[in-house]
Amino acid sequence: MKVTFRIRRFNPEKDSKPWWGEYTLDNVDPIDRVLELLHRVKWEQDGTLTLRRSCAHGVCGSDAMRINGVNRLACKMLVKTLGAGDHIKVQVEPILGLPVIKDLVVDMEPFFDHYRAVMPYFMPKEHVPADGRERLQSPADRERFDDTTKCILCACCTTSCPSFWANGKYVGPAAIVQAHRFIFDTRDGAAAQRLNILAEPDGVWRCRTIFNCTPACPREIEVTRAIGEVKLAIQRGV
Amino acid sequence: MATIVTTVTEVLRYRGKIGQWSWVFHRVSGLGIVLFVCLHVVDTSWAAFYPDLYKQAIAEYQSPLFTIGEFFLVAAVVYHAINGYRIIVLDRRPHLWHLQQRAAVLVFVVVGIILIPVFVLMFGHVLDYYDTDPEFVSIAEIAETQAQFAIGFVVIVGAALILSFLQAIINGENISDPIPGMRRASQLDIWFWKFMRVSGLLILPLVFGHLAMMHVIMGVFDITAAGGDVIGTDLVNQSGSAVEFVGDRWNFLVAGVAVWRLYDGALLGLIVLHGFYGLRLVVNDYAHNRVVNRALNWAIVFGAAGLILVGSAALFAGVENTAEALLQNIVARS
Amino acid sequence: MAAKVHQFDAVVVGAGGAGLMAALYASRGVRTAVISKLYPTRSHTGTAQGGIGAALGNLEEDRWEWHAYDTVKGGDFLSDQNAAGVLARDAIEAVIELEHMGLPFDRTDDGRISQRRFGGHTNNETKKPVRRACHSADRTGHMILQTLYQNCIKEKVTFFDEFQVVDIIMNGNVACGVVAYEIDTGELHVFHAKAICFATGGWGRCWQTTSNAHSLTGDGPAIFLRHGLPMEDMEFYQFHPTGIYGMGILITEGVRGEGGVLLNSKGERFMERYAPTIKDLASRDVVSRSIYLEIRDGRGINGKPYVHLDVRPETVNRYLAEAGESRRIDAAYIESKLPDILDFCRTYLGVDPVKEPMPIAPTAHYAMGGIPTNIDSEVLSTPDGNVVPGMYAAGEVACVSVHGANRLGTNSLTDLVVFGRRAGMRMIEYCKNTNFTPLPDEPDGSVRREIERIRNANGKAKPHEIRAELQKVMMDNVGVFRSEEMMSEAVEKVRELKHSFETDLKIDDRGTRFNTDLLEAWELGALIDVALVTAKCALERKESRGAHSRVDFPDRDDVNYLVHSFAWLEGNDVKTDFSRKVDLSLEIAPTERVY
Repeated sequence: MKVTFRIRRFNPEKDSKPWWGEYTLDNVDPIDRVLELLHRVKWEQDGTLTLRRSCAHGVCGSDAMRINGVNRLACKMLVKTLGAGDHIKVQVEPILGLPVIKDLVVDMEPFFDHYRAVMPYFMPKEHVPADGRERLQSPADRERFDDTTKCILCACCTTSCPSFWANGKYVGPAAIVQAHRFIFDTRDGAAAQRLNILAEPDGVWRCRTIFNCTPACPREIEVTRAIGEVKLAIQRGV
Repeated sequence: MATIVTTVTEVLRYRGKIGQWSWVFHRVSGLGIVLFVCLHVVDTSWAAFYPDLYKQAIAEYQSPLFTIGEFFLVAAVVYHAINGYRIIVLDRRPHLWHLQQRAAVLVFVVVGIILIPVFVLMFGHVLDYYDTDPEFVSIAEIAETQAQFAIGFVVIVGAALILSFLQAIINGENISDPIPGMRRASQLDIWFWKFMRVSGLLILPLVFGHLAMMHVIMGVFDITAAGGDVIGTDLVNQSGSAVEFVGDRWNFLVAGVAVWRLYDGALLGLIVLHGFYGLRLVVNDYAHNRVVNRALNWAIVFGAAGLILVGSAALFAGVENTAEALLQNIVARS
Repeated sequence: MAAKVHQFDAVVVGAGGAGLMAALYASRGVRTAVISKLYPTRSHTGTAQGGIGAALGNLEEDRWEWHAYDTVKGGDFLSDQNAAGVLARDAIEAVIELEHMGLPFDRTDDGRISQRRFGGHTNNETKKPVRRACHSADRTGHMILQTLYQNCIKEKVTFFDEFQVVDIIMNGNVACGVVAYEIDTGELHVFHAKAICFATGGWGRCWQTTSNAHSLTGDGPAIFLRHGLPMEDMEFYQFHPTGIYGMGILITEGVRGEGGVLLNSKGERFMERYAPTIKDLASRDVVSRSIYLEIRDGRGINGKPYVHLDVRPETVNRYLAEAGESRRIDAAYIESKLPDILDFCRTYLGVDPVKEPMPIAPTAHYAMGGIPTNIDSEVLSTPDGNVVPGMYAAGEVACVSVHGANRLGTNSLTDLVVFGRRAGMRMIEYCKNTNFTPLPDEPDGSVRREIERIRNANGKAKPHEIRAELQKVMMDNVGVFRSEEMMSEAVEKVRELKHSFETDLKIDDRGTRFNTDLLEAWELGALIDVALVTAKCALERKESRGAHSRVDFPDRDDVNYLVHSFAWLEGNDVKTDFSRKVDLSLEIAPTERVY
């Protein structure tokens, strides 16, 4: 099949504002993924097309972008899900709400700043056991926070959120998910501190349960649910 | 400012699912209701303090432009309330998130089911009224009176901006600064998060009752029907004056208690606080400049306090509505 | 424009499991910086699934000695036994430490770290599989990477994210720093350091079909080779037989265990020809070779380089019937036995294995060889063990050698954590006892010239064309199936491609900001050098051992080749040395490798 890409381009060294570039590829296999096709555009037609990518199978989170209006990882989007027929059109743009550096590459620092601000690291509740072995945790306790351990910090959720588009200081779903993973880990003792941080005006209160985040998550984390659990935890304690 | 534009355009371009639209409708309906409430509390207070102005206001409400607005208002209130219940359930039980899409659709369906008969009845009142070949207030007159409200808004917000600017100078702030970050809990927002949901639960039956009484069972036009029943009371509006209507309701006692004053008071307090905190959420979403954000938040506090004061004062003062008093007023003036 | 100079006691290059572990340790003692061309959480460690092997013995008896033995045997007896011993012993402490850092391991009913069985890990007395792999769901690598990065944030480790190290700085034979290219601005930075640890990962991108990320281009080895430093055991590169075509993600052998069969474009169960008795359940290297031959002989599906792995009930049942077996399976059976694979194929491929066959091909997976180190992670400059003062390496890029000729599953994560930690601790000691070695003049001069050459390259050969040819010749000639003739051809071809790269390159992007066209071309240069060395070492090792399997020398030769290879790049030539003997401190004698 044929695919025509409409890609949002911007070269900070040459362009005063972004523009749309159109690129058509022949010989596309329906199970080809958008990332592979973007590579073909870059390698065969325009080497200046710039994007981030690494593992190419949905684990590293480098290639989050807006594909046909929805946040996705380009390496997970099969072309056949984007349209049927001999010739389809696909629109690709950078994720929204973070400054665009070049083409599909955005500045991830604000996103990582929000992540770092919620204490996204283990603060043990108790000292290391006397026998020097692992701390104990029951399978049920481990299960409690399993969902939010899946986060790969791809930014699909945070940049799909209209509250984040409106206010870049909103800590964002991803940071809340990362905090959730620790708040509900029975071995961790800093839940109160994290809840304190998340209860700031730009914390969970900016979430309006719009639900764009959950379908955007490539790891199928129940993001809105995690945010809701954090809101309740702020009200009632963990 | 730029972020409002971005949000509006991108909400239209991002292919979010129905949850995104539920939010859009919830926010737009909320803003519309708050705007209306500002006008409504003020003009109803005129029933107590400036009866002639109140009569003028009601006459404007009976004009076609406001009638169209009335339908939108009822739709907004019904949507906002029903979707509000969806929000309350999902917030209380986050693990039900996977039902949110179906719930969103259900909300639209339920709203439709409610609105269809409601609109039919409302339209009936409209037709009945138009059958009497009434005289409508002219658009020019409406523009003039509403302009006064608009000027009022501008004055309040303008004053707030000036004060905020002065505060910036006193504090030695840079006026292009964004709002400073605050990495600690905001007790205000923690408390209000609960309040919005509790108040929402209480407001729905109260406001549905109010709408039913004022717009469905009878219409806005029946407020000025001479000889008509005053709904919720055992009285009759003898003079056909809107002022008498309000007075009859507020003076109606059940076991010595002025039930409608209490009802309207509850409605006033809950809705103003609910609506104005909602306004704060919208302001904090879009106004990032420190001076502007502070100004708007002050205007919100001032506005909320003002409306509650004015409305409570009216409820407290009550309305002189005996037929003789009114006739005396008219005689005295002529 | 002069490069900005930063000074740190210790610099870690690469922010995967090994790099972060080294950095975490080093930063507790000395001023440390981590330089990574990707944001740390994008590192390839995050894709590891199976588990991290350590003889904790939480569910059944286990001993580090057994783990060490299994590692040596798995390495086809080429593993240095002192290294295997260190790995197995330190693994226990390292895994517990990860848990102390917060890693959310799966748990047993009594709350301990849960462990499961994995290929090659046994109870040495009963010879049965032992539960040694500690796991966290099926995302152990992800959890390790995240936990280490989180702890680096907690301990305020300094990061230079999206800085690509393009050169090391040597003063005489002492390491004194690195040169890094800041991807966002295109500027070069000089990092002046006392100790440097390379943890830059593997080079799967030398081959056409690989499980490796696009970023794994052998940057570390290439840089070292260009400074006249040797690489070790480069001929040993692990191929997994069933990776999903185009994605390189691996499909477990369990699918064939449940009755799945391999079919070519003619619908033929070709394993009948290559392994008439056990057919599709032959060992990994036999299966890999067979698949490869089918593709080479034009029987790949739709002319593409993959075959089908068919686990549809009707296919499995057909072959069961042919084999005279009475049992039959249905879709529900497949769903219950292979839920993860089904889910995976449905999501990523849009293929439902219960209704359609899966496209698979042998996949380049892991580098056993790399930068030679001793068990203290110090980089060696000669086969007799002289070290490069100040230089360390850990993780997949290093060759201690723990994995010998073939790596066991779950040992890679253990390797990262154990040797990363050792590197970090050694770097502190070294820094405390050493002064800064002064930088030479113009430390960034030569790499700057090369980068500018690439930036202005206006020939006819585009990087992807050269890379595609490189990947094809490596896959065909230095892949699962090797012979003198094929590998010599590969050496010649790679030399041609190197020439093309050096004289006829063309790139489109001449800018300075985020110029990935330039960087991909630079990385191609690294791939070419690494490929050349790999092909030559493979040519020179005249035996088959572990992952290095030759048709012309099909047997293992413990008399002549119980040694490691060392290789130096000298222009277009590769000099090899086979004098470094395998360490035999655990007194494990090579035996026939039977499972």
